[in-house]
Amino acid sequence: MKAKQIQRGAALALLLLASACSTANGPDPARGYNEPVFGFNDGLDRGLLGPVARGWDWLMPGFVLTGVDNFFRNLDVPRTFVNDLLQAKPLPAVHDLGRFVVNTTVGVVGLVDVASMLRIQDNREDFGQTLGVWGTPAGAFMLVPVLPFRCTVRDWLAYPVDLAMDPAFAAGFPFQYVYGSGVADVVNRRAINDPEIEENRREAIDWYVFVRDACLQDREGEVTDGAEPTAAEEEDLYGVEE
Amino acid sequence: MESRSSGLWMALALLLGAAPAFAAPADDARATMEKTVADVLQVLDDAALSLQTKRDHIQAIAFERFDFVTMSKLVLKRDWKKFDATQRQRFVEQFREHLSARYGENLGKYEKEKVEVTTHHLETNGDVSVKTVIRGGKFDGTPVDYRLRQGSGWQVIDVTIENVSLVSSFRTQFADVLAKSGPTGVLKKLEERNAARAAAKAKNV
Repeated sequence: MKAKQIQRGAALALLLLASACSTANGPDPARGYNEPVFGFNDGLDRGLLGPVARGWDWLMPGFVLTGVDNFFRNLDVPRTFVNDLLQAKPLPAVHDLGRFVVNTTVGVVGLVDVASMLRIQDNREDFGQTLGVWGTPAGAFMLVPVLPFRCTVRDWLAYPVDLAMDPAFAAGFPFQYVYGSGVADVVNRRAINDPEIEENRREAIDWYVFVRDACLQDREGEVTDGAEPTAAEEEDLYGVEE
Repeated sequence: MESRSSGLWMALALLLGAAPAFAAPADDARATMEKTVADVLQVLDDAALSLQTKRDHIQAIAFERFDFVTMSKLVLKRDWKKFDATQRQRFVEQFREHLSARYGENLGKYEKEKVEVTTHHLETNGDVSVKTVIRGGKFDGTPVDYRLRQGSGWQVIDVTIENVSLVSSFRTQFADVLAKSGPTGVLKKLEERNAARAAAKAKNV
């Protein structure tokens, strides 16, 4: 029964991926599904996550927020390192290994970002990017209720692999702990970025489209590592039509 | 001997004279961006200025260094044709107000941040991209790329923050509104946003 469900899920995901490649309606063929999910997640953010994060910000001095964020970003580095290797990027892999060693030791389990002070490159890689680097298309824009971490079919398919590379998970900590720390990370990051999130929400011409495109463009940029766009993309973006 | 050495001097003089011409477009654009960054940082470092004054000063810098007409054309792309002359003028004015105010708001609150101009290069269509990076503060390491085009001097026509192009972002947002309610809908949305911001500002002063 369970195997069948997984099969069905995989088939649905493949369908979404394929429909995104063939559709003429841009990267959001499942908008009818995504927009309500966005509405739900946004409501959760306004009603719960935002207020909790601002409460946390009010309680804690700034250096605590920074320290907590440094701690969690340091735990992301093993995942980045593995994906550096999977993407055949040896030099960034060396930088990231160095970053992890320095921050975990001199930086007191990652609380202080000594590596950045030493100007050691800061890379962010995950399995979704690795799939993208080797040619997997991003697929359709896709949101999931409650979880705000990913926004394309490819990245959701890659998400379990990223979770497995979480050091807490790999070290055999129970699931509750892994999710608990994930929630703490989300609240802390939400607190740090609160002014920007609120400003963008207030000022965006269309909040849903703004968030969707920011996420899609950002992911695309992360996969290509900011490589030059093609001539056609250049012309589309920067050619003036009188 | 005499003539050879004077020829050499001539060649050198020509080379020296020509050097700035070779380097010109991309370097000029970079210099413009460096000046813009320096001007903004000078405003931010001025402890005597209130937050609102800082924002207003930075907004004024954006007014001068951004080419809002080209940006409007790029953002609306094919839909630019759907706007009549008056609507175009209104769009440029409102879009300029929207962008420059937000530029001021965003940068005005920075205190510890510095901006470092890193690289620049000439694009195939003659534009110049200038890459910068924010140093210090909570946005440490964030890449901000500017694209400049030569009109009356070099002016910014797009800003890309962490892979997200401003032109592209506004284009898709406006495309949606345009499809639903045409040029009047777009102008109404922009005017509403600007009015709300002006009202909030008046309340705070």
